This record gives sequence, structure tokens and C-alpha cells, in this order.
Amino acid sequence: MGVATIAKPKTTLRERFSLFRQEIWRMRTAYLFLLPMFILLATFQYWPFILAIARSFYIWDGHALSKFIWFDNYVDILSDPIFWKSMRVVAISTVFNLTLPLAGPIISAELLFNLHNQRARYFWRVVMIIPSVVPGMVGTLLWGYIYNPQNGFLNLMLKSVGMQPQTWLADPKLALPSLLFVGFPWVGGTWMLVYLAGLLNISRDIVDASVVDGCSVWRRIWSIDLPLLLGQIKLSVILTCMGTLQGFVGTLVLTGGGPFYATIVPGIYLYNQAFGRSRLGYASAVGVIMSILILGLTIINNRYVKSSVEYDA
Amino acid sequence: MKRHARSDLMLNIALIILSVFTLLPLLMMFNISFKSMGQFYFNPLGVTAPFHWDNYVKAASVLWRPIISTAYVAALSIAGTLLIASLAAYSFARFRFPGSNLLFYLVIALLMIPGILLLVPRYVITAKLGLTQSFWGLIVPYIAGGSIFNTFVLKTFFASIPQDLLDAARMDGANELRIFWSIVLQLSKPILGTLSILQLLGVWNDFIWPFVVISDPTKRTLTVQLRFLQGLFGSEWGQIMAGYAVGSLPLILVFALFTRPFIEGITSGAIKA
Repeated sequence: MGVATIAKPKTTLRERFSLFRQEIWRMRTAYLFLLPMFILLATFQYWPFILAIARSFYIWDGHALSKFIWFDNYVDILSDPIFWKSMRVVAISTVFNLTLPLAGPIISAELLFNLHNQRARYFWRVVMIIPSVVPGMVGTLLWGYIYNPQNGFLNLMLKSVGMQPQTWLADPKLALPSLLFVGFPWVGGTWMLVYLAGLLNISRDIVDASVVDGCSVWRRIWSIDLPLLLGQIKLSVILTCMGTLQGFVGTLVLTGGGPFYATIVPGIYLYNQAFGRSRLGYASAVGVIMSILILGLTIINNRYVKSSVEYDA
Repeated sequence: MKRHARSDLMLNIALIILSVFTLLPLLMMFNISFKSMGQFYFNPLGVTAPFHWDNYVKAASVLWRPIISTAYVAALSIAGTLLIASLAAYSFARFRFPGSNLLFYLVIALLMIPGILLLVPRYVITAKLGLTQSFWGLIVPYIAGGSIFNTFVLKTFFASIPQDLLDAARMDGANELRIFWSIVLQLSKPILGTLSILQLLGVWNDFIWPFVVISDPTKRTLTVQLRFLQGLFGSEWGQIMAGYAVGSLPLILVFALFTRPFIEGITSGAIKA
């Protein structure tokens, strides 16, 4: 050990630094290839990130007005009842989105998977993808029409069976349930494809063996299919949480957070502060709070994913 | 076999019911899009004749410009993202250089930052750079945002290309740029296609960024114009629905032409987004 240390030629710090510089110069092509991306990332990712955190401690209008105020923005946000209202709405939405909207694509994937006729399966697969081919804005606006108080589909249906029309998105009591109902029956689209691919990956032998063993379809779904889809389901849980916590475009278009803040979510709260009232420092602080929440939830989710059993087939 | 037929029948019935509800908004859209004002108020739910194709002419007249604008923004964003991300990914996958791991982690870490945090400061930076009211204010941030995930995916793919192949080219006197362009990118066409579709969907469906960056009505992108359609057409629901249909058409067309990369794109989108 000691001998080896002596035998190794000693390099001074200066020599090591010069070697390092040579190495960097030798690999200059590699750095050159990275340069365009890092210039863009620095401008539109790293710098905004630093700015968001730094400016959350300021009164800031994006221009001249800029004053350091320590944690005042955070104190103001956390004592604003409207912010807490938005947290309540987003909590309700997250819990709801983790139920039927999460289960819908699993149900439709199972229906397709259990079809014996391959051509029927292919046909239904195409039908179920159609909603994800339509731009999200069109989907949102079509639901806006469905809820339209004068000539909307829902009220026309109610009137045709002699029931009282409602104002849906303009009614403080009905607005949030109506928003949550958007997308019903939640069976189509991308996630169905993901689950179907997962199911089709299950070895035919396992399915056949379950049939030989006299296992019913329900039993197979519960004991084989769902455990094998666990990875996809957990991913969907994480992405649903992250998406619902920061999502606000659909709500912004349909209700703008109203009526009387009945559907306000943190994203709209942030948006209004920033673009409606030019309180950019305050809005940045809202962003930081939401990021901490999202990050915390992701870490909890990840830990949960790692600690539990993963099946493979 | 008979048991299969019966279970298939039940499944098909369930699927018919579910798909009717799923497609209901779209069926409604097409149905109303052919109605004149009178037909809509007289019979809004049923199918009415004659079809009013006029609605589509009217809708196209306010949507053609936003569609071209969005296609322009999407095309440049896709090209830029693929170019910049594949250069970076090639560097990460094929070179060992001081700081390569650190820099790669710096890129990956960006995937963890919620978009909502960056909206406001990114807007301020875009404004300071004088890019608001310009399509470049959309394109450049889209390239920056898209290059993160694309670099991540392409790095894995490039790393799987056999080293012998690249060494052979190097032996034949090809320089790095040449190897990158003529071998690596040629081998990566399928994955580049999938990533293009993913980026296309992201740009095409984005609303909030063009909404805050561009307020000039002549430069609206498709989603923003669709949002204002009701304001433009008032209660002419036939025209509004025709507008939604026209707005859906380009993506449906892309889907029909590139079904496979499209499906791969949306599923990897689900796994990404």
C-alpha cells in the first residue's frame, strides 16, 4: 500500500489543473454540442427558476417597482381566505380525480382486453382514442356548451323531459360538481392505451393457467391483472396529483374561478395576482408554495412506490 | 366458442354505451355544425336537413390564419427541439468529459420543476427580451421546454447504437458532425417521429402561454382563437360548432396519416406529462 503510493508519480495541483484543462479542450466538441441547449435552458428554465424563488420575497411588478419584504408575501398568502378556498377546491378535485376518472381507463382497457374478437378489439381501440385526437381546448369548450344555461345540451335535455333547467357553471353550488363532471365517463384516451398495453404484456400462459384453475374473470382481474398493472396505476396516481394541483386552464376557460370563488384553484389565484393585478412577487410566492406541495407529494408517492412490491410478468 | 360469443356480446354492449357517452360531445358538435340559426333554435338536438355548409366557410374564414400560425410555430418548435436536443443527447451518450454526469443531472432535475412556478418569471424574461407579440416568444421557450424530455429520451436511444458502427465511420474519415448527421440521426428516425408528434401535441394544445404572450388578435394561435369564437359568432351555435370542428381537423389529419407514431407519441406523453 505504502509502496504503491510512493511509486505513483506525484502531481502538483497546478499540473492537475493543466491536465483538466487539456481534457476539457480535447473534448471541446462535446461541450459545443451541449452549448445551444444550455443557452436556452439557462434563459427559459434555470433563470426563471431562480427568479421565481428570489422574487417571491419582493413586492415586484416586473418593471421598476421592486422592494424586498422578507416573508410578507408568504404571510399574506397564508392568511388570505381566498387562497385557502382555492386549496379546498383543489383538494376536493384531487380526491375526486383519483376515483372514477382514474378508474375509467382501467375499466375500458379490461373490457377491450377480455374481447375474444381481435378485430372488435382493434375497432374499439380506435374509437376510444378519438377523444385524445381532438384538441383539449375543443373538448373543454364543448363541455362549456353542454352546460350553457340558455341553449346548452344539458338544459335542452332537462326541458324536453319537463324538468327545471339549471345555470350549472354560474351556480355557486353546482359549479364545482359540474366542473368535476367534465370528461364523463373518463374511459377514453391515452391512459386506456397505456393500461391495454400493460394487459397485453401479461403472458398468455398466466391467463390460460388461471382459466384451467377455474378462476373466474373477476378473480383474475383482481388477483392477476390489477397487481400487474400496479406500476401504471401508481404512475397515474402521481401524475393525476401533480396535474390537478397545478392545472387551471380548463377552469379558467369555463368559469374563471367563479362564481364567488366557488371553483377557484391555486393556478387561477396565481394567474389573477400576476396578470390581473401585476403582483408578480406575490404570484411567485404562490408558485413556490405550490411547488413545495407538489414536490412533497411526489416524494411521498415515490417512497410509497419503491417500498411496495413490484410484480413482473 | 359459444361462451366466447356471449361474453363478447356483453362486452360490446358495454363498450357501445361507454363510447356513446364518450363521443357525445363530438357527435353533438358535428350535428349542430350543420345547422342554420333557425334550425338550431327549432330543433337543436335532432339531425336537420338541409346541411348548412356555409357555417364551415364562415368558421374557416376566422380560423385559417390561426391554424397557419400554429402550424408555423409547431414546425419551428419541433425542428428546433429535435436539433438542439439530439446534439445534446449525442454529447451525453457518446462522450466522456469532465462534468458530463453533473450536467446531465442538471437537465434531468428540470423535469421536477412544476410549470406553474415558471409561468410568471418566464413571461417577464420573454417580455424583457422583446419577444412578446411575436411567434418567437412562443417558439424559443417551446424549444427550451421540449429539449429537456427529448434529450432524456434520445440519450438512451443514442447510447444503444453500436460503437463499432461509429468507429468504422470515424476510421473512414468522417468528423463528429458528419457521424451525428449521417448515421446517428438516420438510425433514429422512428424515435424522432414519435418525439415530433409529442411536441406537436404539446404546442398545438397549449393555451396559457400564447394567451399571455400574444394579445394581438391577428397573431392568435388556434386554441386562443377557439376560446374567442363564441365572442366572434355570438349565439350562432352552428358557426361556433363548425369552428370547433375545423379546429379539430388538422390533428385528426395528422392522426390519420401517422397513426403509429401518433399513438406512441400520446402514450409516451401520458407517461411524461
